[in-house]
Amino acid sequence: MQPDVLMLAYAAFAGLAMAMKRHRPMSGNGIALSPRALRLGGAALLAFSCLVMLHRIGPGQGAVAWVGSISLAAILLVLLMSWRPTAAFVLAVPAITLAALFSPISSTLPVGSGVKTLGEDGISTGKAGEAVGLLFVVAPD
Amino acid sequence: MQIFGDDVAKQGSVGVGRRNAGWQMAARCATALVGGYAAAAGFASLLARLLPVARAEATLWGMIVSFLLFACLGLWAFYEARLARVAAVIWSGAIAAGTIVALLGPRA
Amino acid sequence: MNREPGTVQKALRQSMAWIHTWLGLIAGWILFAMFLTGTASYFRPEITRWMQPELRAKSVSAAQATEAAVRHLQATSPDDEQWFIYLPDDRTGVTRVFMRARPNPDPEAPPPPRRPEVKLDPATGAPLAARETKGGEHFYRFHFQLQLLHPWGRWLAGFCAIFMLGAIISGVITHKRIFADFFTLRWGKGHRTWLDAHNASAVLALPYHAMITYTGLITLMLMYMPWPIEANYRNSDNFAVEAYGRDAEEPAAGRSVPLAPIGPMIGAAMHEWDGAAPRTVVVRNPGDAAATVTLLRSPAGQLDARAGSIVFSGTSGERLSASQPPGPAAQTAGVMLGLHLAHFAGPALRWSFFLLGLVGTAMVGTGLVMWTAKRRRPAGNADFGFRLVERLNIGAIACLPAGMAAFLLANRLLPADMPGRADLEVEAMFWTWFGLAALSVLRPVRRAWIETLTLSALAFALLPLVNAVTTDRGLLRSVAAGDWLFVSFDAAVLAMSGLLGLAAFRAHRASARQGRASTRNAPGRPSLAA
Repeated sequence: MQPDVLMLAYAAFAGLAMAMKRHRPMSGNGIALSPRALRLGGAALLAFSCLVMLHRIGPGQGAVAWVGSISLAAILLVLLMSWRPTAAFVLAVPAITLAALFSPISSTLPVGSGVKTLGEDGISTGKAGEAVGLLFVVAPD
Repeated sequence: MQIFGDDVAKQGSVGVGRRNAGWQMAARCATALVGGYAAAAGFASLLARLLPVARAEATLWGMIVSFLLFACLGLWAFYEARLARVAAVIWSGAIAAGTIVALLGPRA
Repeated sequence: MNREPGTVQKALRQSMAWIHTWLGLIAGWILFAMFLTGTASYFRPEITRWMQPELRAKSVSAAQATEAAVRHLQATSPDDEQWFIYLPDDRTGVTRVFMRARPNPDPEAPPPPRRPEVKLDPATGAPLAARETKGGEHFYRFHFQLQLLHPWGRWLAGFCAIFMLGAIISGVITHKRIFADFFTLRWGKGHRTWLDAHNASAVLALPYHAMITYTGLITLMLMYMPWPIEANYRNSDNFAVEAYGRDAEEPAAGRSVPLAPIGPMIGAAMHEWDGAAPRTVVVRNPGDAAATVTLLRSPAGQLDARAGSIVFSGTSGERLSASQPPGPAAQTAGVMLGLHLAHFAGPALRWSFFLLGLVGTAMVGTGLVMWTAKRRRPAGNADFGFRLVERLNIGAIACLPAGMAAFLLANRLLPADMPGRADLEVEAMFWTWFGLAALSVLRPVRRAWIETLTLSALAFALLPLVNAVTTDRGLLRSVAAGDWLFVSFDAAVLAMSGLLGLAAFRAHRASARQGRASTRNAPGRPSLAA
């Protein structure tokens, strides 16, 4: 499992949800971030989780595993939100913290070097057929 | 997913005269299912026959896209209000594509 | 057509909502069964291993397993035309062999009967003695053959799959607030809750649903859509040769020459494949001067399910040819096949797919229940169509799990050496499933939901108990022995039992609420609007 990617995606979706008026917690406790910041932060975390996954297990399987992981993270979040909304959002904080702790375990890379190493390696573009197949499969989202 | 009314059929885009509604709906379903399959098969075969790549590759591309074609044709058959137009487009498309493929014959 | 832009959109949504409802309703019950048994099939080899508790997996090298299997085949069927050796991996733990007899030279004679597969000990090549069972293969076969005669089951499954594809596309077009409703799930609001649950399970896992549906059609595309082949080939066999590099079948020379050792061929192939192991060994014309050995690469670790193959001479061991690298279309089709089968996936990804498969099952189930929740009248619906849907929903959603559990329970409860027990296990599933569905008709609808769900939950909860009593691989011993397959199996069936129990509990609560409401107001039909 890539638990850190799951937790990153959980936190990312929590940010995106909190940015929405409908889900924004009523009491202002703890949420100092503006909806815009939450949205941007959520999107950035999601993108980062994608890069981590692609880097870790390659473009083909990485993309599949990433899409699967974020789907599960979103489902987990929505289930928790429907039950205990505040707790669901608060959990995003330990999720990010744990993701940072888990990274050295589930990754072959040391923590913190994630983004930089990505640039050096470059994500090799997959074989044509693989890329087309994936695009097709992921496109309806 | 939003609208789940029983009566959309009667008042919506697929609405038709009450008396013939049953027959028209049956014709529409047959056109979508059988005609849609025939047209998808025809267009996929035409694509496979004409695509300028190796014939095995072209054949596979034809088969791969055929299901998307079928699904879209089938759904369109229920969107377009005029049954005559649905029947004309789908059945003539199927016949035309099939005829061209038959006239061209298999690749050498 | 002169529609205003707004009206066009509205008409599009309405027509798509209508077709979405009917596509989903017509195919829904079969799709539910295909989703649930297909989801179980992610663990096909694991279920088979659970169903043959006498066997313990062994890991030996591919070369060792092949040599052992060849020794067995040379002793038992040296004159066959073809040997198929399916090598063990860390999931199956056994070698499987399948032999094809030489066709009778007389063209009028009936073809030789197909012989069943034999399981061999990977290390010794001795046939394994274990209880007769279809194992995980049963769920796998059922999910696209639906226990019907060939080819009708596959056609029906394809029919439902294309309905599913239509339902996915029309559902996306209909759902105008995909992003606004992205995180919305509200409990206890009647049919609104079913709509939320249906939307959430559909939208949040949409890439999975679209992928599994389309790739499912692709797995059988040669059957469903053969016309492009007809358009390009006079002889459709040539398509298989060109597209999949299937070699022309050389006839036997008629001179006997001993088969060269296969171990070195495997070594050479693994070197050529950067260390990847073969999955299947096909020996053609063994013991003949024209013998060939084809090694098929394992697809583990790569998305494309059609990995390459290398052909060796069966007499000299010389490398004769290798499959061409696939073109973009062949690779796309191979990747789609691979995504559907998920053989490439490691344990984490396989469990993710399993969970997403359950989400897909929930999507179909909530859609079906929503159809009735939306149409239920406070005074009760008398019309036959509504009551039929209500009953079929109970039969498909609440009774199928009991049937699946019965299949597994029968495996433990029927004597291990009983003849014909494999078929009896399968019968146990269908008798339980359809029998329970038929009996549930005798009960009022809301009681029927609660009772069938409870029975399904109990059937799953019984599995770990029955397993512990009838085998020496119960949960405690499995934990102690570090037998994680058996531990996970017990955990998974207990989780299923918990889910079904929760559903029964919620149905009970909703029904109690409904009961209070209806005694306060007008006398109403019992219902399950949660």
